[in-house]
Amino acid sequence: MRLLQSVDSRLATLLLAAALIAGTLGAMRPDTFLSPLNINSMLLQSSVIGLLSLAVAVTMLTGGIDLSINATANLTSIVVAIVLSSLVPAGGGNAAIAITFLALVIGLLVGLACGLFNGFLIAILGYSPILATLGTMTLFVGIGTVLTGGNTLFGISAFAAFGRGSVFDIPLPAIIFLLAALVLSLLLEARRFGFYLYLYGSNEAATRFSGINVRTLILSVYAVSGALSAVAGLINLGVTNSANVDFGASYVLLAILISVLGGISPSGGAGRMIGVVLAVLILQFLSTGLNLVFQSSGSNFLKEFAWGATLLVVLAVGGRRYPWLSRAASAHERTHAAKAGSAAQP
Amino acid sequence: MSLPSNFPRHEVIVLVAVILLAVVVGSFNSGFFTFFNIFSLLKNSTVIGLFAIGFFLVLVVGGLDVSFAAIGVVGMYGTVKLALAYYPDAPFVLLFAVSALIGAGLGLINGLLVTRLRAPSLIVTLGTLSLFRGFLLYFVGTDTIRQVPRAMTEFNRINVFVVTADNGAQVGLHISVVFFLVIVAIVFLVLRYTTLGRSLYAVGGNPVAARRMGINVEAIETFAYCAAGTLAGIAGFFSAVRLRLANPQTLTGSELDVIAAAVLGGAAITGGKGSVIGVFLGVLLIVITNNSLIILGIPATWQKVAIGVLLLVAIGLPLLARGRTTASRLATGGGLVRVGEGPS
Repeated sequence: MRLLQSVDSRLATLLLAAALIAGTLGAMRPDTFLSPLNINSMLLQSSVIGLLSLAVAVTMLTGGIDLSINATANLTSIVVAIVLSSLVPAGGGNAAIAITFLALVIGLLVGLACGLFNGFLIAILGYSPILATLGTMTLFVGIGTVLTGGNTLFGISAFAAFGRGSVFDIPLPAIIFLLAALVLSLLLEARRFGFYLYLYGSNEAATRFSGINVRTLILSVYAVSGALSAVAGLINLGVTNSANVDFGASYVLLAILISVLGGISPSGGAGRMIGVVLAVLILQFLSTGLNLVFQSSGSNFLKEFAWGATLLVVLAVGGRRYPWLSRAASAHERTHAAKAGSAAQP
Repeated sequence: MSLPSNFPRHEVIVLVAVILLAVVVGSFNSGFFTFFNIFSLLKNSTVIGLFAIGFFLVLVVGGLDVSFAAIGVVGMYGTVKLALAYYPDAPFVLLFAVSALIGAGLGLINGLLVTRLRAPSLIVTLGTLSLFRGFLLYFVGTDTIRQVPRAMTEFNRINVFVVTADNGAQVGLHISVVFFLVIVAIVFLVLRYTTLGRSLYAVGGNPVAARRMGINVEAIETFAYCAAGTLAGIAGFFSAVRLRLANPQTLTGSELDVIAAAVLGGAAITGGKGSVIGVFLGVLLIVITNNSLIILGIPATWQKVAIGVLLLVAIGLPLLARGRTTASRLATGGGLVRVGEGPS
């Protein structure tokens, strides 16, 4: 309970920051920033990076990391694009729903396969998460390069409705992102899976000794990460109507930055998905704001500089809080682990 | 940890792999075992090798520095910009020193941030990576400089050990290879025979024990990042010398070859392991792999797959060699290595 309260103060800070930035930008450029067009475009842009951030955040909760998120997303969109473009001549216009459904199934399968491979390396073979996912990142990019020959795939129009559709004028990708965040939050905060995961992140040894199946836990964590990355890849395919291996090379850094900004402790065991959602919004506001203020060609590099600086500042400010937070968290959870341990050995 | 009993074995494995690969490639292409090809392989190893040794020094203390390519670019481009603005006729030694110094300064920033922030080094250096790169590209410039200072182009023409090939062509060992080998030798001697070198292994192996031995753990860690930055600055500088142009958008994105080389060489991400010789062999393996895929008839698009598989195998080898079964991991409770943490 103490853990939840302390994290909630961080959520309040994030909420305040998001409101402040949005308020300032809204006051500066009311006609552009608050226009429905801009709000929709911000929601659309933040959904892909948001899903990738959730993917990296869930692995960071275990004290691991998944550097292959973007490679998984791109591989997913490439495989789906290849399958769809070979099917499209056969399927007519009224088969769009069937095609979309098929694409979703194939995409999720690719993502799950990538994630399970990561999980296999880490949980079964004992690879360190950084090196394992660094290796698979190269491997997935490599497979994508072989499949595309290094080119960009275009013209998967049957799937465009998925990326460009909207419900009640809210872009479909944004709805999918928020739904994914909601489901993940429930999984983490209301199910046993989540409890074990936080426990593992804050005290690995206690988790092992309390009889929890750590292998299955880690395997499922990386599978979830792969599936979330796959959804990001599918959305990206739908929105841009193209797929290539190089898309979003800076997204891995950005996703880690968002997770840390959102209060996910890099050493595991602390942080909530709602914080990640707020951090995505803050970064999207800042990004749009920088674009509005600096309309020069180099603003991408300024953004890169700003993200790096933000990450370091958040680490510096958050660093004061983390040791205390994780001590409190592990003290809190050690008692639970002890209980679970004694329950396992009657 | 059990350092001496482990790593000769791993180095032997890598050496055998290098020799096997060379024999296979040599049987496909008789040109492989010529002075020309061997000299050019060594020349191609210089930049990635310097990066890899810097990366390895940070690995030894149990950290992970992924900002080396960005540091190399800042050192190289910054030096060229400074020289062209203030002293276009600067002697080579000065240019070399400035690039190394810029690298050392940025490495020092890394070291201070990692030791002060107490956050995983991977995440800190990911931050400094985009900080350095973004700073360079937004505040310094994005244009490729094609007219580098004269001292650099002149230096690029120097070859040593010139031999005459069968067809009468003169082939020589590029001077940058000599610099590289001298640096390898220095790092080897420092790591093996000095208190500083042993302290690096001690900090990486067990920071708590190292502190109780009286080692200033933070200072040693900062030194490792600083040294890695210096080597990255030198590597970036040599890449500009070889290409005779300074492009601020190169190098970053090619980090994986370097990381793969260091890991192939037996350096463990948990720190306290590995040797310079191993890293050197790892670099050779990566460079030969990259150069030989085409000779072996494998399309260039497969290169990343090859590096990825090689990397994954390289990470797995020491785990198998150490016989670290799941049972022993369960017993020690430390099988899964945390992000950027050493065993403590």
